[in-house]
Amino acid sequence: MVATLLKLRWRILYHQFRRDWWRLLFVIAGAIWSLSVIPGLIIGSARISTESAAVRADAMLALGALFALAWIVVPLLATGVDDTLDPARFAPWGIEARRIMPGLAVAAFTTVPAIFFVGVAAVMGSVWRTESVAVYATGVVGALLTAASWVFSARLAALWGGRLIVSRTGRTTVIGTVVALLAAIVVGAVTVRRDGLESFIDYELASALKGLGITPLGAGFAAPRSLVEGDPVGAVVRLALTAGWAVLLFFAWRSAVTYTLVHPVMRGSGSRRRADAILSAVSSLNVMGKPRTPRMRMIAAVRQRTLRSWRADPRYLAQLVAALLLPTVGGGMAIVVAGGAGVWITVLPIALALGVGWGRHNDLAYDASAIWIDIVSGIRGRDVMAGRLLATLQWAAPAVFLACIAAVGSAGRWDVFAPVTATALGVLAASLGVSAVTAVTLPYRVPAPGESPFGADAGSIGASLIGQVVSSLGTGIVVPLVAAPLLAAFVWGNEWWVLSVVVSLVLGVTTSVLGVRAAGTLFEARSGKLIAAVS
Amino acid sequence: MTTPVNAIELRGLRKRFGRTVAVAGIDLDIPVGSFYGVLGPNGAGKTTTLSMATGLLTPDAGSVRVYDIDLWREPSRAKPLLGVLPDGLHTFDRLTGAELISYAGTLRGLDPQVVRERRDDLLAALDLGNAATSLVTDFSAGMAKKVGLACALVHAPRVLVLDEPFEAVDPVSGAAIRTILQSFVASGGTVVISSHVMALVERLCDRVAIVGNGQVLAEGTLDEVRGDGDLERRFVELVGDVADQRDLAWLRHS
Repeated sequence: MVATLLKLRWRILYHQFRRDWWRLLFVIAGAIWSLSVIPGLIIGSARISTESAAVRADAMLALGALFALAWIVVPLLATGVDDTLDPARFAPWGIEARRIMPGLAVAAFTTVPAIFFVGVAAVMGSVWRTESVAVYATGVVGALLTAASWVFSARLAALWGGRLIVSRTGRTTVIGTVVALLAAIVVGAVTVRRDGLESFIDYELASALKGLGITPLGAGFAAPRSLVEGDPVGAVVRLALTAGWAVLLFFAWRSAVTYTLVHPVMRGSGSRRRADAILSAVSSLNVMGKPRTPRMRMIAAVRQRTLRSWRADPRYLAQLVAALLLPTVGGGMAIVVAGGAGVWITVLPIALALGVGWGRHNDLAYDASAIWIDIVSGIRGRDVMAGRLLATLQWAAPAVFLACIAAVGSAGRWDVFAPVTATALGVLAASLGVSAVTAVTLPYRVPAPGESPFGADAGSIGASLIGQVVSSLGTGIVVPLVAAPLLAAFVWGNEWWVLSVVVSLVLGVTTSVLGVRAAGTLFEARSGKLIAAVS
Repeated sequence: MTTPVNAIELRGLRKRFGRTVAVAGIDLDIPVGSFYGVLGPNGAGKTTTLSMATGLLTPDAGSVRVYDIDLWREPSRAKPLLGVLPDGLHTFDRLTGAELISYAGTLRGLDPQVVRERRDDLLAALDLGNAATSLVTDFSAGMAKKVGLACALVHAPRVLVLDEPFEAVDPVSGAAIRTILQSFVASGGTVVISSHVMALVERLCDRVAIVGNGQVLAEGTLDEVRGDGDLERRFVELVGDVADQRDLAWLRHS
């Protein structure tokens, strides 16, 4: 069965690459990049292999923890796991999980990232080559076992994540986890601010790494140190712990696959909604207290149905979590490390606004072929794009506003609240405007409705690259113009503060309006090509 | 202004996907007030043709006129005349059945009160009572088809283009849909359906086109196309029978 599944995987990939040959270029580019990194890693490992056992173990532990986190977070929040052998596809065959698991496990190690990281782990283990053969072997075995647990944990996280995000309770759990994670970051950040970065590295980080060495996440990297320090039992225990962890993850993955095989389609959990939210939205009065015009009703209908997707579609929810989490963590760190002074307080709200806005560069693809309803109705393209943009603004603008309060409040700089908020909202609007255009011109395939939100085609990272690069360029041109007056205000002060409010709002609104208009025109011009492009 | 003779005119429609020619130059005149059946084997190009005829897929060549309006040059004038039910495409599956119909009605420019009335009428007529408050993602295939049909009907179009409208629909709902469509044609509307079910086409349609390999193999009134025999025999004559009629002896248990 292992050979059958591997052949199946290669056959699927072969057909995928024959259909979209350019995907193969990106896979090859990824492989070449991975190979090009290896010499650097070997040189690095040679340098560190001359350090003391404690330094080597700590460095490998820290790096290993980072990779362990990346293997879980990146597939969930950024790219997805290769879904060539998605267990859900085996559901109609009535096959048992235990029969396909060996094949799935071997196949999981044949992806470019898995091969690369197994290689990286082997290099990490080789930092012990200057010691005895036993230590060297322990280092390599511990590292390889840890790498196995990385690969298994990504698969498990994608299946569990997909299950979790479908139910309302699950979504609450996800949000709770995100909040807990943010709280942990805040605690770490506050400690750094209170005691300084050096103290944090010397004490908190050191004790965290020590603790990590007796957990399954880091024991594999800590085992050789035990052996060097004359504790062979400790080394064996650590290796056993790592092996046990990998086995445990494998069986948890098998259990998740078993569940997937008999719960093949991700559905709406049977919930019912009595009220017609679309009709309520279009029947309500506008901000002037007057009935909406037909065009305004169409925009309101698109906004309302897109908002429903943001609330109820696991694929949108996964994006929402990623859009909020990644910039918040990065921006939060920047504030803390920089001591919350000066221009650094703008990093959090602007990073958040930029993350959300840029993140919508493939917005249209998430509706997949459902956009036929919009296309056959003859609705103006700009109205479709305006409705979509307003739906994102409806949750993103309050989130950015809260980020402004958090950033300005933590620094005690309420005097700059208005310009910071205006700039962040301007960046949000401008980047959404740019993304509207790329969403229509350069859409790329994403998981279809009902598929796991954490799945990805082989080579899809490359496919998405073109859209991402172009939207990055567009955003890179517009956003500095929006944000420049605020940065100038931090340097020169005085009238720049007022100017930053006016310029950012005017540029933000103008870019979003122009972006929506251009995207709308393109939507109409490409209406007969869009369904094929997004599905 | 005189009413055009044809509800839809297709001229020289062509579409190629890579090396595969899906539609190789189709000409069709679909008269106003007709119940028109497009028949063809799997992969004949029916769905591709109907997609190009409704604005969902850009043709490589050729033109589509709806009530004498060029669909691809003046979509804003032609599209309001069409009600469309495509096959095999997603819908906004996080809306309820009622919301999806309201959405389609609103996009067609209807007043909210009119949308509400028509939505409730369609839910009742298509026996979609339970579907009104359920999310589309939880629908069976037949329910999804019916709610899609409701979306096509909500703005009372002049022409209905329905790709496999009876597929997966239960007999009771099928009868209700037949009555709705026949009444629509009787009042002057035009219906175009694609189907594999010969008996259904013979029962409903007054004109048919048989499509094979991306071309029209036969076209005309039902009697003209089927001649002296039945439609199924004529269909097999035109598109050809299964080339290798192998006996699956191993499938028999006794």
